[in-house]
Amino acid sequence: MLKRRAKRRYLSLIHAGQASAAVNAIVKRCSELFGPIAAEKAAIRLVKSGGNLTIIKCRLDQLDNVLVAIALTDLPAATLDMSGSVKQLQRRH
Amino acid sequence: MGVPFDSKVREGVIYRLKKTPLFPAKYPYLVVSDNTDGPTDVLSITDFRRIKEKLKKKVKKGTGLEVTVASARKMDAVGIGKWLNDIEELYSFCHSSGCQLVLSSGASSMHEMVSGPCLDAILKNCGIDPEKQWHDMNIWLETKLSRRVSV
Repeated sequence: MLKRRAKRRYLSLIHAGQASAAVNAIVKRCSELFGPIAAEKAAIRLVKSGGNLTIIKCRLDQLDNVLVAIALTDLPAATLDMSGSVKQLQRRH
Repeated sequence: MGVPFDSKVREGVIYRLKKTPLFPAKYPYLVVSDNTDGPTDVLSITDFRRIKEKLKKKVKKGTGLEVTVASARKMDAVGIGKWLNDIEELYSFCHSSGCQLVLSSGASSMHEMVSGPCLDAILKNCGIDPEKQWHDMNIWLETKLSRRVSV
């Protein structure tokens, strides 16, 4: 069986405070709401940050859970855009 | 939808008012209140479980029942679980009573805004079809605003 790389989505966020704090808050919320296994499967990672704009990535199959976690994170963060590649996401902003 | 009126009329914006204006308004608006006793377009709900019985008796057909994401942000995981369950119950209550579920951000700053895909994801999590919800919401909004007497 072929080992295929999991599909990912890149999300650009606008948030208050530090980028790492915002991403940690999203991961924590995701873990609280959907469980540590789902949070680990989501593989939420910080890709790039500059000012209040941050790009994160996550697994496509866990995208809905990640979006819920972003919307319900105490450290407010809003999703601006999402894309299958970081290049395309940067081009749009 | 839903910007407090700041005396500047902007196109494409529906304003949130606390009371019905005394004179016909030149702008589209909705009266938003958390009081179940008085007439209102949108009833803001903070704890559905607490006011469910009261709502059954007092809510009028066509009223929007609003739940805000901002209120859930400050809750812990258990509270959010209950909040999501309440939305599901509120949605079926809206169906049986002819009301409209209004899920809004409740944002007071740019960072608190909630994008469309995030709202869709919350709705899906509550077992609500986002497409149907936005379609029903659109019809409800058009009906509400078309009934207004405007200058």
